Amino acid sequence: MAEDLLTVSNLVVEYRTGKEVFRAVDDVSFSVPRGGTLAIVGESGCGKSTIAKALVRLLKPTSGSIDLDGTDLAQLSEKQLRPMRHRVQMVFQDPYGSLDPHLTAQDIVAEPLRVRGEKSRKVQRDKAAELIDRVGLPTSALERKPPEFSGGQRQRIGIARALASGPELLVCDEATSALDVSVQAQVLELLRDLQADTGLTYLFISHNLGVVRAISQDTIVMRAGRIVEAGRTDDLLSRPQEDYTQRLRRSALEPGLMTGIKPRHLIRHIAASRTAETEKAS
Amino acid sequence: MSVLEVKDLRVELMTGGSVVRAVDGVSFHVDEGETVTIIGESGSGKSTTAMAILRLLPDDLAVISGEARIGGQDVTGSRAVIDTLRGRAVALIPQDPMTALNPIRTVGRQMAEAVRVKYPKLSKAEAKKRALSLMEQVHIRNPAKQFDAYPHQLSGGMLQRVLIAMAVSADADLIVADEPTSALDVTVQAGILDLLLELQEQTGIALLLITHDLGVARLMSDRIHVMKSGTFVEGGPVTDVVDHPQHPYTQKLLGAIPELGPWHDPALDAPTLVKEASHG
Amino acid sequence: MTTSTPGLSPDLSQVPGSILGRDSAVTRVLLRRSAAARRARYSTIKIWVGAVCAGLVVLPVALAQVLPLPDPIVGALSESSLPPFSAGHLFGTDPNGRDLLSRVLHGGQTSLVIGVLAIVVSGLVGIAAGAAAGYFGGWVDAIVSRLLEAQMSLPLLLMLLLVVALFGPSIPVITLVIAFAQWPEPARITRALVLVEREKPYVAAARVLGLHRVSIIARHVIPNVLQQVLVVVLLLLAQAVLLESALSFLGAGVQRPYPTWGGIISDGRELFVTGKWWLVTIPGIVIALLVVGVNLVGDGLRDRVRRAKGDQS
Repeated sequence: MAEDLLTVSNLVVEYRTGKEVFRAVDDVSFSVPRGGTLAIVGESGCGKSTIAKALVRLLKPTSGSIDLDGTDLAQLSEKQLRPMRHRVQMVFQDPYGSLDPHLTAQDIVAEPLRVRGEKSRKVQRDKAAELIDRVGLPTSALERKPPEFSGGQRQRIGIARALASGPELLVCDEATSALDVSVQAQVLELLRDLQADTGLTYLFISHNLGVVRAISQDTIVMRAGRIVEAGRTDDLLSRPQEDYTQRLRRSALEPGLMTGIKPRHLIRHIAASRTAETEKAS
Repeated sequence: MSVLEVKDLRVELMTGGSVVRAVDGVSFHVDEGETVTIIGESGSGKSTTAMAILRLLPDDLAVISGEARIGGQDVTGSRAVIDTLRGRAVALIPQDPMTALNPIRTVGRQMAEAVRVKYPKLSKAEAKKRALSLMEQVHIRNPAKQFDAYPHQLSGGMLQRVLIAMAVSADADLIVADEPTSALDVTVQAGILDLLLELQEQTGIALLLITHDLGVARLMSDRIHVMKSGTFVEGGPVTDVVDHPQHPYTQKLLGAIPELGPWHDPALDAPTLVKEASHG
Repeated sequence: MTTSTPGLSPDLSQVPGSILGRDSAVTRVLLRRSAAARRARYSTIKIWVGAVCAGLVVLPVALAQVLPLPDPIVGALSESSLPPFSAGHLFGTDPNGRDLLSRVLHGGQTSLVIGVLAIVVSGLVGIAAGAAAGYFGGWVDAIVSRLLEAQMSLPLLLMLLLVVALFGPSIPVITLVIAFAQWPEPARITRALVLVEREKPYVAAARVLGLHRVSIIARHVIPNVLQQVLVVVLLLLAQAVLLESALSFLGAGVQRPYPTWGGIISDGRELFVTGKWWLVTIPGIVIALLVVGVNLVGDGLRDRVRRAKGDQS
């Protein structure tokens, strides 16, 4: 569709370890409308992080296409890709490892500008200050280094850095998973505001259904490299069709919905169905 | 007499830069058969509280004052007291199952070792038999095979079950679980929590649970304490604290949880589960 | 240590030594004995003691030209083989009547210059090779690693003697020979540290920006490992000085009559049994003082850097 910014078709990503080939992403297709948010949910090992890495070309897909507004990024050489990299950027999960500890916040946020050819130090400084302000940090933050910031503040700096490239698509790989719950809410709000202001498109990877509901309109559920179920987020969460999606939904413990003391019946079914399944497998 | 009684516990950490008051006067108790949860965000001091009670903090780092009694015995004084209680009257389920076991010894050998802490007179064969029966108790499939496996060959959920089995082997009165499911997938988490609830139903063991996850706290607890910057800001029966939070911090925490909205769980329509739901 | 008197809560602000007032249980004694304080103390002690020892050697050596010293090369035969504390000769003289203090200080200049140049060269080569091997992996790592392994299997001192025999014992040759002996250490540690840094998300972020790999190594990876590597390079200074002394002791160093520490010891060896101990012992003490001093400083700095890196996360 013309209004889709991103269309992924038949994506396959394989890892080679010695003689064995492991298929992390197995023929996955989806699309994201311009200015919208698609969430990818699943447990560890389902392939969602691999998709994120393939989209920002931290790894090269084995086959399939990644169509970003008419250009297929999947098989481009590094040289062909480089001038286009700014169009897809990433916010990482680990606030403690995703910022270079020896640089100031200003250097970190200004670097994408330098990479794109902006030579004037003054322009770099001004734009960095503007972005730091946009993500809700004070100007005093500019001169400080990552170890002086909290987890939530570091994530904000990471978002500012991603924005500095002027991307069309932002891939958030578990961007709030390592944050405290109250900080998480603030960062999600920041991301929503940014999208409303700038029309940015998000691909949001998460294992947390609550976060997914707060940020996305559409969701796909992944397991073992394949899509299990896809649809509007609200529909998926209130009326999950597939067994696995139901199990995920059931495992999401929401305090506000529980009644009584130690309501074991809520989870007993998950434990039983998981055992049954693994018994079948072995 | 409470299984665990803590009065005005204070933990000061002598770090490189300064002295940090990680725990600033907390008091609570855990009785037989109940689960008390300390809930807080990172830096609140919740893990430090548990580590201090179990005397797992080195003496050249942490200065503990106040009182903590396990089964009536004060553990804040001489280390001799906690040394007799650990692995016998109190057991720990740590946060990361992957690193909690010795990687170069089989799981079975470590389990047998744990069994022998409590019952040193057991022979090798008897310890193995008990270890296998414990592994069955925590629903590890094919225990005989897993007995000879090494930790890296088992999944996170399975390893956590092994650690729970080791905690149960102590026949303890109190289990301290420090973020027992934080490192696990959400469906695996459900299995582990179900296991803990089952064990508590069977043995009447007391559980002190440390977590940052309000959903886990709501599911598992009889009573919870909300911790912030080293002190408890609110505490009480779980239904009171979660449904009618009084303190602004608790309200903020609860308000920050993204809502999932209600849904109809088809599994709860199954006849057996409906019966249980009406009892819970 | 702990204050658990059941039923009583002592007012600790009244307890002498309690430093935070307001019912803190942390006394001055406890704080002094804490792990963090002990570590800080040890590293500070090491750095100061080391600096003093090394300074005692380096400062006079650096000022050798300026100090009022007799000629180190031309001696007065009338003053031959005088013991230390003789008039006008603090360290005594050698059989040619040359003042030992002057020879030790001038010789020290040669040794230190060679030592510093050698570690600069080996540091640069080692860091570059180690970073490339660690970051690129593949055939680059294979080549560098095999070179490192090959060098370990060589009888080092014999090889160095061979090279000096072939090319002559000049300062550039000796410097390069010592640098060649030493490059594996900075290379190995750089490689190990780079392997770790490479996996961190900030490196991935730089790749997503489209930075060239060499740019990433130079701007992001090396600056974050530099402190730790430089400490290792500093520790190599002592080893470089020792190697230079060994070479000149064996006759492969800068040739007579220019003084070198190893040369002085070598010349004084036969005279030791005749009771002229100062020709061997005093240069030996000077070398030992420098080596111990530099090693202590390096050790102390390494502790500091390791703690700083640990605190960073």
